[in-house]
Amino acid sequence: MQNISPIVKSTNDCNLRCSYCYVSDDNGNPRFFMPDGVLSSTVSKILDYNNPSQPTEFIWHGGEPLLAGTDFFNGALSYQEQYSRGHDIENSIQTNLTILDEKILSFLSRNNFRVGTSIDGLAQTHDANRKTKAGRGTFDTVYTNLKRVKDAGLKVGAIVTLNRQNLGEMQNIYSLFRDLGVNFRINPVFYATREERYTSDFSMTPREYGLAMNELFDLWFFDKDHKIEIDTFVNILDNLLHKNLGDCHYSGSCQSGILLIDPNGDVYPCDKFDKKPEFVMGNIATDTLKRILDSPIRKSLMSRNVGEIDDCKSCEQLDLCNGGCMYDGFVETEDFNAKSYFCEGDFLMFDHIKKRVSEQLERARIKKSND
Amino acid sequence: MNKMTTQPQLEEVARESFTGGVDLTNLDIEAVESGVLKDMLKSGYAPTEEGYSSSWSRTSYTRKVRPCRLIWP
Repeated sequence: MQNISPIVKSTNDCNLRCSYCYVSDDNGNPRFFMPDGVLSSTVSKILDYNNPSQPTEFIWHGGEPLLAGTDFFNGALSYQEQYSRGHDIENSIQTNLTILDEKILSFLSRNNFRVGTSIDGLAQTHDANRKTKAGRGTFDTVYTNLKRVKDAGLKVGAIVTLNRQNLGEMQNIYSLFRDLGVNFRINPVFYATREERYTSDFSMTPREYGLAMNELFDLWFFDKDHKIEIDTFVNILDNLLHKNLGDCHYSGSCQSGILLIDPNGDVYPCDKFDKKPEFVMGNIATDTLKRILDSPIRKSLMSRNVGEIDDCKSCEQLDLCNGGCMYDGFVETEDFNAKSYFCEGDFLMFDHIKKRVSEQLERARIKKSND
Repeated sequence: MNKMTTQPQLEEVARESFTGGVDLTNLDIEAVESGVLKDMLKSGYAPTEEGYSSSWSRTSYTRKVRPCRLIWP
């Protein structure tokens, strides 16, 4: 049994207004923060369920989770200590890094938080969409604070939200993170509904996505002095070489170890389902975790069988792809037994990576045989 | 390759996934142009229950499904 890694939202509130954001406020109450009772229940029930011989990872998310303040997170750590039962507990936080004062930095450093942030490219590209409420770009602030976090010795990485506007910026994106010495991953811009996906100015076609990823892969793969990891590709190579389904996108059914807990305690499969009442699996404050994990919604998601998906069962990339993200399939078809919207792009990417690795191994073999 | 390299696994996957397969016992690693792959072959790519022993990959993560909404630094 895999331990549950809860994605815990301290709040859905955010100080930024990114153009493509999918997070909605809490029913007109954007300043709502997770109450102490919900926080206590979250920590105690997760730690009670998980196997203490393996680490438990709490993933703090939002909105902008740091808006909850260090008092909230000190409370979380106190509950972790109270309910640990000997657990090795790790904390990660996904933050926009725009409100990082010395108090917060000191807290994160003292408590060894892993820090994830978001940068979409160089300043002009990033600032076009990742703005404050007042409409100001955030690149300079995020860049400066990313370096502060790194200089403080914390583990830090970044997500790039790939969309039509930064699709052609792969060289700049790679150079930016390479120069910073910061690992990153690519997430295609997310849409909660099919209609949004097909009407948004940010949408890319699956083919555009795949070709951009191949360009990025080559930049990284053939960098003779590579200094960083691109999480997306490391996971694919890991899967290719070790059948280790590390990335939720390509795990077939991600529900073995992930839950999302909203500030009010409602539990969803992940944040792609957030605020969709039909996917609420229970409430962490009022239901037992067993009841939540046994909910019909979760069982339905876990029963996804990509081997029964017509488009997948004879696909040569099935072992690597496993149908892709089930939500990305569901949005297209309203059926979880469906391939991901990004199927064509994923196929291009997997095919490209396999060819590149195979070419290199063959080159090394031929050189050896000629010596 | 050092002793930690998971050569049998690589060979097995090579047979399964790569056309024609590749004999990984007989490679000139210096001929590999990819910095990523060269590091992988040199340092060994050896996942353990705790994570990965090699320098090219993550060092402290357990092997399990990870959500995409967070970068794992």
